[in-house]
Amino acid sequence: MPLNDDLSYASIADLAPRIQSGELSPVTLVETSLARIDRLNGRLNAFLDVFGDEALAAARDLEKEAAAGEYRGPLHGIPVAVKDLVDVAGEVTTGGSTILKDNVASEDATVTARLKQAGAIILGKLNLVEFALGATGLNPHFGPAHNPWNLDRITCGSSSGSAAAVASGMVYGALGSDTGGSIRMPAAVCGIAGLKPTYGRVSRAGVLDLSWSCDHVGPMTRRVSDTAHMMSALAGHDLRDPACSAAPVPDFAAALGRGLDGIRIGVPRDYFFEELDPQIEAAVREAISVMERNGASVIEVAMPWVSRGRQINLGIFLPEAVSVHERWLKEHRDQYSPEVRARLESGIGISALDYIRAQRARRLFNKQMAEAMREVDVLVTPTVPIGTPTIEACTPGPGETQGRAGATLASFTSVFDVTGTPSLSVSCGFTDDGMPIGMMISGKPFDEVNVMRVGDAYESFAGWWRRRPSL
Amino acid sequence: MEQSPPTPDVLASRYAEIGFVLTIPEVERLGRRIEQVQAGVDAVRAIDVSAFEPQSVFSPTHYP
Repeated sequence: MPLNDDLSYASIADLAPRIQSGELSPVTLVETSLARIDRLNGRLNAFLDVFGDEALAAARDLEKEAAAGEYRGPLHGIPVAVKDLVDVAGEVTTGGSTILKDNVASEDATVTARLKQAGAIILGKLNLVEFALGATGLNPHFGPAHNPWNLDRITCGSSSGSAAAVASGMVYGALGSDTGGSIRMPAAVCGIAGLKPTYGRVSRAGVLDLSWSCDHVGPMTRRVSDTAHMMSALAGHDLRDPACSAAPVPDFAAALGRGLDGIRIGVPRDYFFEELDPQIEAAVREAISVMERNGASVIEVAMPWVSRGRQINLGIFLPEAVSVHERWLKEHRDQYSPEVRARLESGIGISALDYIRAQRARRLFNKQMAEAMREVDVLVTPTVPIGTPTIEACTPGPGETQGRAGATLASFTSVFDVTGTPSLSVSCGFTDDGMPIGMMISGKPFDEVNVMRVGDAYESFAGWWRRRPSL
Repeated sequence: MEQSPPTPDVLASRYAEIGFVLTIPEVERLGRRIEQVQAGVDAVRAIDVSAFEPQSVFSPTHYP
């Protein structure tokens, strides 16, 4: 199968009518993706497992369905992949750990089942940080995923393989999870779109827990319009997840393409622009200007309390993560990497009182956020505060439990894991050394529509998605 | 009155009481990380939360 970059980098929106009409076969798409994975995965280490035979069989069935007029919708025949903490029936879910090397899933996660129901083809399992507990994208058990824009740089994490696979054109969409920023940080530094939906919008059933009250599952794609197509398949109430909301699900894709007229963009006066790489600040401020010139109004928003978000996130997710891991930490302690084990064990001493205090502080924080956003539709901020570090800079030295870089990566993203509100990273430029820069668009509860509307409009004006990494 | 942080042997003993067995050198190596976590905990302790109930995991305040 010859490589076809244009086909690999096409959008779901462009492919869908061709599949529906029979001009393009899902088999061709799967073969193209498999050839690309075969060529690139040795360098990128994005996939941990590839379901080639199963994917081709599914593609042949979906080709017949389309020919018979049984077209399921925009994801019909589209190759996607899932972070390896999402269950696929009959396959191993490792969570990026050797502890779970024999953990065969008995049934699909709800998100897997919904993607399949919508006609998407699951191509395989994607690399991640061990148990999704880390921001850099490194994994000592399976090796790091490499950034397609520069193989020496990190992908960020924890959805490292998801970002690398989408940015390199291996698949058209991927699932990630986000507890402190693990969808949006990798999306930002790999130059793609990544949406953390509202907490409760997308089911977590069949997805390995890290922190019950901060975990979100969401899509990562090259274009926001494709994010919307995936969200339409993923969102909605699920009895298997007790925190999943019964809020009505809008037609996300239908709400796009309406431009920015009437949209009120809030730009925080505090925190997000204070300790920031100058190139990232320039790119985000220029993006805000682009949106203002194209119809949005821009309003400065005071939020002097917002820097507390990182500490509140830590005070909640760390004790929840220790609780999730308690049995494994006691029975399989030596199978953790020193870094992830240290991260968990440093949280053992957080008291129940301090955990409850953090959940009370979260309630106050959410009230403050709601008040700050009363006069705006979305907040626009940088996604990641620093330039993308090298893998070497993030790798702990002998005897160390922490690399030199990485501690600050989640400073901005974690704010919206505390609020549980929707937050999208889109590409807004490149640094002088050719690395993508991400801009974060964050909205009100269950208002993914406006978040994606702004991201989609900005993408159309700016066109950064047209750039491809040299691979 | 300001409390001094627990020594590694005290921490190791507290961890062991709840089933996490770490040696004293292992606790010592965690020192910087524990300090970072404690700084975050202290920052949250400084917030006046007296008027707020905890956020519920299963019906968060943002639900309609």
